[in-house]
Amino acid sequence: MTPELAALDRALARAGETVILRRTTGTTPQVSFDVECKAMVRGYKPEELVGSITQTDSLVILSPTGIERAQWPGAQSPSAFGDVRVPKKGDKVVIQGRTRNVEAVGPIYVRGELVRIELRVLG
Amino acid sequence: MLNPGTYALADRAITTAINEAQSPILDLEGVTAVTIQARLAMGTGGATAKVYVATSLDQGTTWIDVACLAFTTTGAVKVVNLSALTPKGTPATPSDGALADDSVVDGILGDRLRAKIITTGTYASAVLSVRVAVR
Repeated sequence: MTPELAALDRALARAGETVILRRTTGTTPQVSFDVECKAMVRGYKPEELVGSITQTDSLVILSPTGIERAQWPGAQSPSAFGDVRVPKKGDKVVIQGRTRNVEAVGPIYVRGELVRIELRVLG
Repeated sequence: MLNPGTYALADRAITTAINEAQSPILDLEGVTAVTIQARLAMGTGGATAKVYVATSLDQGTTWIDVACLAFTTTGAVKVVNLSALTPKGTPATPSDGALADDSVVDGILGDRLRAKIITTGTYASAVLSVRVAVR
């Protein structure tokens, strides 16, 4: 574990909240697979409200530790590509009982290791 | 064991016929029991949909079917349980995607699990999901 990831895990343990990250498959019917993660959730600052980001959006900072431990989102089809640990647009995050949509994802890698995931969620 | 918990071995929307192994769930060293649940959430169409849950004892070179759960055109949930502690005195010949419908091979569990999905016919709006509770 990199120092950056260890520091994020400590910070989230100290000040974060528990959220549920949800991957849904299918349309009707749907099947979901969840993982509980520690996260920091905050609104965007005025100077960050650029482009399509609005006041109702939230920034969610996640550690990959819980995702890796649960091997979320589970097994993948051979056609899956990219880092499957990273949430994607269309996933959901349940924050304080409210289900919000993942709109944009920003994984951060340090020395090739995934150390932080930032999500823009809305809804 | 190292990582007890509930894992998703498959969440696959089914349309045309497939014969597809999903990626494995790893790091299950020390597993002593697995409960497997397969669910066919049904839309329309289809013919047969089978899930072969397999384990490996050689880091994925050889996959060994340990359970087959078979569905047709009706949505259903099927659950089986396997124990690694069941003595296996008679040698088993590994099969990959060839176990008899709705049967298990008890007593053989390695450090990884995967699901292979084999369907026939064309389904619409159907999802096949497999969950395992590992401990």
